[in-house]
Amino acid sequence: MQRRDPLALPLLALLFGGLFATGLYAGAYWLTIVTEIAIFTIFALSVDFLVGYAGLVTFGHAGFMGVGAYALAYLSHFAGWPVGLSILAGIAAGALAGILIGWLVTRVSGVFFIMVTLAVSMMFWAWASRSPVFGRDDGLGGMKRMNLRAIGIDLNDPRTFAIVCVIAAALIYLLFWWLVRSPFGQILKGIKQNENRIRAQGLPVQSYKVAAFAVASAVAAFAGTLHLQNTKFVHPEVAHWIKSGESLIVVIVGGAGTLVGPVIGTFLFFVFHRVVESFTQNWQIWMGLLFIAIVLMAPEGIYGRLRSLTRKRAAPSREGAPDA
Amino acid sequence: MELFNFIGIQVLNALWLSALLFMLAVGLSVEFGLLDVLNLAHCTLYMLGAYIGYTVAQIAGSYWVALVVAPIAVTIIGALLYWGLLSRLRGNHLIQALITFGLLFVGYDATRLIWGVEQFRMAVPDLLSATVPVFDQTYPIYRFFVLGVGLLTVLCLYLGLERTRLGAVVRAGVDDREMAATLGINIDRAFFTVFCIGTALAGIAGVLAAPIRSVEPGMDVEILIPALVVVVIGGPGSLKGAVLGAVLIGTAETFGPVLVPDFASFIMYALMALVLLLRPQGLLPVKPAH
Repeated sequence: MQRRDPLALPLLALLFGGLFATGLYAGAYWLTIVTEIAIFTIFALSVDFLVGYAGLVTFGHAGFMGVGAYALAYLSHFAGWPVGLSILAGIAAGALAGILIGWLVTRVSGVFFIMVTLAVSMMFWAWASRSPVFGRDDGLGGMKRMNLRAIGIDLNDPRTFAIVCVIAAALIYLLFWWLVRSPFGQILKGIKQNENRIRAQGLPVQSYKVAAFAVASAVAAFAGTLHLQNTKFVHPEVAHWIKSGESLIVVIVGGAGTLVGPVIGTFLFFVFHRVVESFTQNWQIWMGLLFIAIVLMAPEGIYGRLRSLTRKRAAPSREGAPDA
Repeated sequence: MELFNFIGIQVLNALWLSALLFMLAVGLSVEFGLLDVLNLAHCTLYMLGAYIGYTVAQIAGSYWVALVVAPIAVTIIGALLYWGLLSRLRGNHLIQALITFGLLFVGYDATRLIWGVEQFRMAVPDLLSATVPVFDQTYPIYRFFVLGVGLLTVLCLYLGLERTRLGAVVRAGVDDREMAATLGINIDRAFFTVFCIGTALAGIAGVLAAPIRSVEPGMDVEILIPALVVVVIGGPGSLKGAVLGAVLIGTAETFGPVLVPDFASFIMYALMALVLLLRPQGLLPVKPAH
């Protein structure tokens, strides 16, 4: 039984439409922000899929962004693969790493899951920041973007690249929208609510968790490849646990377990960052305080709160509709 | 002989680092194991200890004043934090992790606002500024002092836990919180005291570290992960576990960069992941596995 969200469509149209329009008409400064927002939205959606739907609270998802970025960097820069193929391989590497690591980490739960995902992602970070091939913690520049001139698209044009990223984010949104409504997504929600009930129905709970982890890892790796395409620079920072924490911030602030939430959260996070940064160097203190205030006052997130407000108002007219 | 001297020096380095890690981790561990609070901002208090200690030492001209004043100031800040925020979030680890993660950002920028972005290094007190010859080298006495404070802390905590009424309450609370509360023990007050002790230790660790490690924004995040690893490896809430974890990580962090420079920090994370997967309750857990 799906709930209808009267807010979802207008908000999404506003956010994605706004990004798209900004991508079309804005100047160079805002183009970089639109690109960053689009890429981080993809990453945040994958985190929300794990945290909000599968109930797997990861504090290390940036590690998979790193896997995507480093795989792409290696294959396109050193192995001489075409960039497009390397991106696909990067996504595949993310999925593979997701299956392997998901299989390990889903053995523990709760706060131990938070810790072990943190540890595993930082293992990747530690390797990347000491890897001589990739310039250790200085990173390595000189990466190429995908060449689509054959079909008339020049990705080296910032405007074109921004719009491609926005479209990619919208497609990933649709992917998750479809996924959480599929039987697979429904079972994940069931596991989040009551793992034992699903197990009692004879379903392999751990396999479902691993599958969810792999999907989210593949999408995060895709975000990582886009990040590398954007910056043309591979740097271990992409996999640092602070990035994982930031993704949790945008998911929780926007509203975990709603796909609209991470989009709102990412949008606000970047816009807030840029706006406050233009007034003061110390944007982090304000971001931190605002974040704490939101978590304390609206733990269901901005979109979750909006939705419950509109639903309360609509409730009398929908007689006895079960909230499930 | 050269090899022996080399190893000797590294062992000394490992020991003082272990002592420092212990002072930090034991607070984190007890917050997590006993109070059920995952406080990522614990190391922000350590950083504040270092900064406040530096400033106090500048004004008062004495390291020893700083070593007393800074931990008290840090404890007050920690107590306010506990009373205002953390005690209200007990039991919800995700929210705790997120809120204290937000506090990391606040702490980072607050120190930048107050002290700027420069690196400081506190002066070693005159009494301890000498060096002693060991293993064919000169070794600063100050590092022995850090080690000594660490050992003293272990001893005090052990005696406090085993011999005092508060220690008995704490042990009862770790074992079965509801049962202890049912028996009429004021668990909340005991928890608050324990939190303050952990915070004070973080403040002391900050002052101890200030002459050895540079005092700068971000020094908290740098040591947060090793401290968390110590807690996880040893077993949350376990004093012996914190000692074992601190020695293991202190050793890995000292010998790692010398022996396998490219895998040094890798070792720590791998150890943590291994322990979590094979023995999630830690190496020396408080409660035996059922």
